Amino acid sequence: MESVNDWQARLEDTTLDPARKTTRNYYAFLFFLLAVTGWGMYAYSLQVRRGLVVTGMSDRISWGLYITMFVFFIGISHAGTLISAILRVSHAGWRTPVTRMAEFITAVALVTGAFFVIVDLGRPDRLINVLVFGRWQSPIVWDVLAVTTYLTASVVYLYLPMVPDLAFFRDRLAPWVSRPKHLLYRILAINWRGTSGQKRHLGRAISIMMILIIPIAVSVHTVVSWIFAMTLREAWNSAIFGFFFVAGAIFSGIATLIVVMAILRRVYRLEEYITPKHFLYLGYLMAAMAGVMIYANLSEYITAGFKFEEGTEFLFRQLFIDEFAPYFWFYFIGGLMTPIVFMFIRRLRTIGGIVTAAVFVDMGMWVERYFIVVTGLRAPLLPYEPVNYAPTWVEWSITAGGFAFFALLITLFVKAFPIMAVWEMTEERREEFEEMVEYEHEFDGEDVLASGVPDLAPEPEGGGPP
Amino acid sequence: MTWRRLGRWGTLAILVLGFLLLGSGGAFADHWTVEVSAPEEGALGETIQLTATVHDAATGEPVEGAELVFFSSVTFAGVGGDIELGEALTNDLGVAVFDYELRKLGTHTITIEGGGEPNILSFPVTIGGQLYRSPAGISLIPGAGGWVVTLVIGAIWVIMIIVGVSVVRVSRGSPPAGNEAEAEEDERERSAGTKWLNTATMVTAVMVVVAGGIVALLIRSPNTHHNRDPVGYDRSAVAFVEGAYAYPDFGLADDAAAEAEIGRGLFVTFGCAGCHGVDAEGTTTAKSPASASYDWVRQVTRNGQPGMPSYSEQELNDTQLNEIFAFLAETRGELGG
Repeated sequence: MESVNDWQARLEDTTLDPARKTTRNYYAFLFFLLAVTGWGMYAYSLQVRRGLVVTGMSDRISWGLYITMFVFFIGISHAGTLISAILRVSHAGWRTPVTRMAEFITAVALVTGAFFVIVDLGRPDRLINVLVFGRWQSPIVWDVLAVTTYLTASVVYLYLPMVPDLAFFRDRLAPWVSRPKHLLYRILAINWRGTSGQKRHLGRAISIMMILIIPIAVSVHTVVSWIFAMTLREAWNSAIFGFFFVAGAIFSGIATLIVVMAILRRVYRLEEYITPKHFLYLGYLMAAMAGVMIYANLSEYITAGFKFEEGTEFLFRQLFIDEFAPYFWFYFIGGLMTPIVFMFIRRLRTIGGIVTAAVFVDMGMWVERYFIVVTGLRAPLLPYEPVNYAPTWVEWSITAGGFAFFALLITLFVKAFPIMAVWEMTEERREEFEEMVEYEHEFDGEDVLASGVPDLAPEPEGGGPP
Repeated sequence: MTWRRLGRWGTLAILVLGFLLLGSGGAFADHWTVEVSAPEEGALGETIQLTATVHDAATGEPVEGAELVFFSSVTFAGVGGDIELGEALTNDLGVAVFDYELRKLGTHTITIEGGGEPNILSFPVTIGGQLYRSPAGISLIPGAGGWVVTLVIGAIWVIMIIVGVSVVRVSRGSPPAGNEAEAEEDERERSAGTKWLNTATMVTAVMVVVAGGIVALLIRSPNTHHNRDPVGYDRSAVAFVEGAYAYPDFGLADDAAAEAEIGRGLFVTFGCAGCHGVDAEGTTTAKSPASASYDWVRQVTRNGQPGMPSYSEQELNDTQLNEIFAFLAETRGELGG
């Protein structure tokens, strides 16, 4: 039987590998992402110079792809909160290998999403006015407050459980990395030695953050939805909007996590740690959230359609029959039905099937954000013919740049930081072992822990997984 | 046994009574004559009054307290139906008044039911004035205002700073007792500049600064809504492009160029530029009016058309209209139209 130490050594090697070895493919991919991001930045520079006239947005449809991207990425960022915080609070043991990925998706998606708010401004320099002249009665200011708080909290929440792993990088990576990079690890590892006092303080900090971040995350997507729901627009005039957006955020967050997980698993050979079980559990969670989304949609459209007030007619026609019908039905069938169908059919309930469903969910949710934004603005408030919105190449370029930027941040993160929570996983493995040992002692008293138990992890307050 | 019998007869009695009541409801209504009326036409955004006068068919006396229901018809995806707009009761003169808000252009058809055959009203609705002005919204906790928000957000940030402080404590953790070598290494680490310059202290410092900014923003934020006080809340244009455009009150100009220059300013102040572009070049919203004839510009400006508001003599006098046209004429040359 393999000892804990051998297991840990192998895990450590796997985790260190991305930082030690860089393949040519990595550079090629990095170059590709940099090129797309660069192209997006060029398009943005054009927009800054000439103004929003280079976009397809007008005075009537004043939000388009940018706000779609903003809502989409803020939604993605809920991956970390759900998987990491909720599962950590509930002591779900299987989560440990995927928490780190979920947490960095959160931080990276938030940065990307927040960036798109600035892109949507014709005069980005006036952003400062929100801080100088902001008033709390404005939903825009709620957004600024919530997103700022969430960004800080999620970076801290990404960082805290990473401290012991950063210390491990600091101690083990010295021969492979340059001096500045090593200094970076030293600074980030904040002198971590794994003493009992340090463990106590860090455990306490993690416990506070994992609970605090849940209400913050819910508030963020609620106020993002209120940006819409607080206006006099038929499509957005819904009491369910906050809940609907939060559910959609968690839904797309899980899907993104599945996709990122599958890619990293393949590239860095994490098959031993990220098992089909993880895909299956997350797939079930995703299907359950799809059910919640279908319910929310029915609730929303049936209550509006039963009464069928004047504005509803125009909205329903463009959404279900006319201009936006392909988008809507793609979202409903491709985005919401697919995960449920895939999870029901045994032959599709494989890693490949679940990842396919997750890709559909991500596309469906992006499309949903798009038609929520555009249909809402398209329904006229004044007696004019509705105008149409068609994104220009500048908008498409910046959007592509945004996706590339998101992937770029993940790619860089993976190269520099531990992609799995080594200490949490070791901790868990050790506990499993101890249980097993106790069990075995009852029979023959053999000591499998003779090689010694690694002692690296802080104890989260409230006890670890049983 | 008797109870069961009683129950059966009781049910039957209730059913019979129910049928009688249902029938009698219709019978009463048949005795009425109903006359309905509406204004000849309405303007969008107006609230008009639909009236129905109810008389007793036999005596000719007005009926008080008669209930009339107002419907509007809609078709969607091949399915048609009536939407109930509301109800109105007649007063002692037999007159029921229903306030109807005009929110759609075109011919409105309203069905009024009550007292025999339904009555149908039909009238056109054309473009009118301002459609909607939001009244002030609710305040969640009267009197408390922004302080509640400030306290909640402040509390969250205080907790986050507490977290930061406990991470600082991690970074300053004492070396493990009895291990000289590690204690020495620890000391080296600290003196290497990671004692204070480390993520823990920086994160905490950043959190304190951001929290301070947020609380300052909330405290500075004014406590009122401007549209709680619609006085001074007018619709005049506020956008002047880099101050290069003349105000309308600069006085009359003699020559065409000066006239066009004033017209250029008016084109912005009256909001034309909002849809037609600052140089009247046309946008995705509205075409360029530069090549239109004088009569056409005048006709559309005075009467409006779908998508474009009308401007009366009082709002935009003839001189100003001419100046705007002079500007358009000048632009026509520039744009080569």
